[in-house]
Amino acid sequence: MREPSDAEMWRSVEATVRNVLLPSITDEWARVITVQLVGLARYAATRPPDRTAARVAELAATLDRLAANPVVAAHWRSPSTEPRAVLGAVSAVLADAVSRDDQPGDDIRAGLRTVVSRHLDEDLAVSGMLMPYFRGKLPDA
Amino acid sequence: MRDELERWIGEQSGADVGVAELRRITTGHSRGNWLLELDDGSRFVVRVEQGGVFGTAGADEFEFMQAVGRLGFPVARVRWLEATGELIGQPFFVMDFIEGGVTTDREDRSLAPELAVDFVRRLDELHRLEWAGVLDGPAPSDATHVQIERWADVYRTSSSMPIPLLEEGAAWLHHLAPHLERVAIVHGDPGPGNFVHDGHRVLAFTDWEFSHLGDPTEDWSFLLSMRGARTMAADDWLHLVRTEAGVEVSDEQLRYWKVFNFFKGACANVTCLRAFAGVNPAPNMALIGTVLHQSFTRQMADLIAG
Repeated sequence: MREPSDAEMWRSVEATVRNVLLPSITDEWARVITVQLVGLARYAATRPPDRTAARVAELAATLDRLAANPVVAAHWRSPSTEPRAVLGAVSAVLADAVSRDDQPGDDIRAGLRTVVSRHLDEDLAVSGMLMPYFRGKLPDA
Repeated sequence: MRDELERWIGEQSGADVGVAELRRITTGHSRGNWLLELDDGSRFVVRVEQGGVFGTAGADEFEFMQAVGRLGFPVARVRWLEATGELIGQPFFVMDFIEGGVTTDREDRSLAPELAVDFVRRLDELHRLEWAGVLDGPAPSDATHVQIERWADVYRTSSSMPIPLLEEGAAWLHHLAPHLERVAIVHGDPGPGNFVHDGHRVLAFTDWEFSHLGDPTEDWSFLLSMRGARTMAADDWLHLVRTEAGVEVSDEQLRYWKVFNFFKGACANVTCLRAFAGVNPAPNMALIGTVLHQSFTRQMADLIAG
């Protein structure tokens, strides 16, 4: 028999805290924190692997495609796959585009901002289940 | 903690004091609050930092509370500050306990109509205080830009990576910063849950960790779109602000300061991941640093996109 997986151990933490410990806790703040711990255990068991590398690669490819754009060209002089460099370039490009109502600005908002925005939506699709726990409520109680 | 506090308060007050009771009371995310009762019956609140959460410092909060108290604004009297963190592991200060307050559920945002009116009048009064000579502040042309950079720096020093949508947010806020006639004291987190009341009247404003000098529209926007959003509809708040404070907040101003407040929240929330990985491994830190940070960033980005 194999050893329990991380997901199985997190499921044990969630179930034990929720069903055994929580009913005996009366202090208001302690109950809130305990409910949050239940949510955190579920999140740890269900979240996908870190997507940073794939996202950085997608953003770098997007910057490459927009290389002729003057705003991108100003901040993407030496293409890289290093996360800090890529995210720094994306940040600078989006920030510079704020004050531009012209075609290069629109192209950045359509071509680059939408990618960053989708990444955020993907994160929220996973983490959104934490919100009721944060407010101290068990969503399926 | 009890022995350390007893000795330290004795040193600060110059009196031989004994601690009769020390217990944790209302708890926020950025500060732990402890009720402290001495042998002579005097009661205080010990307000303890939680590992740099939200990038605010008790020493700054102490200074602001002291200043607004001097100006006659209703606030708990601050007594003693321990800013090093060496005594109990975190910086803290001690303030008077406000007697006569009504205790409500931490999620309860309801207000009696007369209390809402009194609160709006008091917040307006705060904004109209003449702070020169008591606090050092920026020029009106700099005030909003200072705050944008303050919060951007909070995120930049807490995150290992640039966050593109926050950098875009900072640029948008700088680009569209509204003209400011007069710099005011801004509470930074005003509304239900952050003042003590007797059910009808405000006894004291609390939770001053976000206070600063800036544009008071930040407070009105925060009240009606965030902390007071569950109390009444934004239009009802706007009506109250107009009739009781004589303040008009335009749709354009509202949008700008909503973006600012979501930006500020998203930046502040990043600090929780650093705290979680270090001195404060409580689950609320992980939740604030993930889902709340992402939710605030989403709302900010949507408002910018129009």
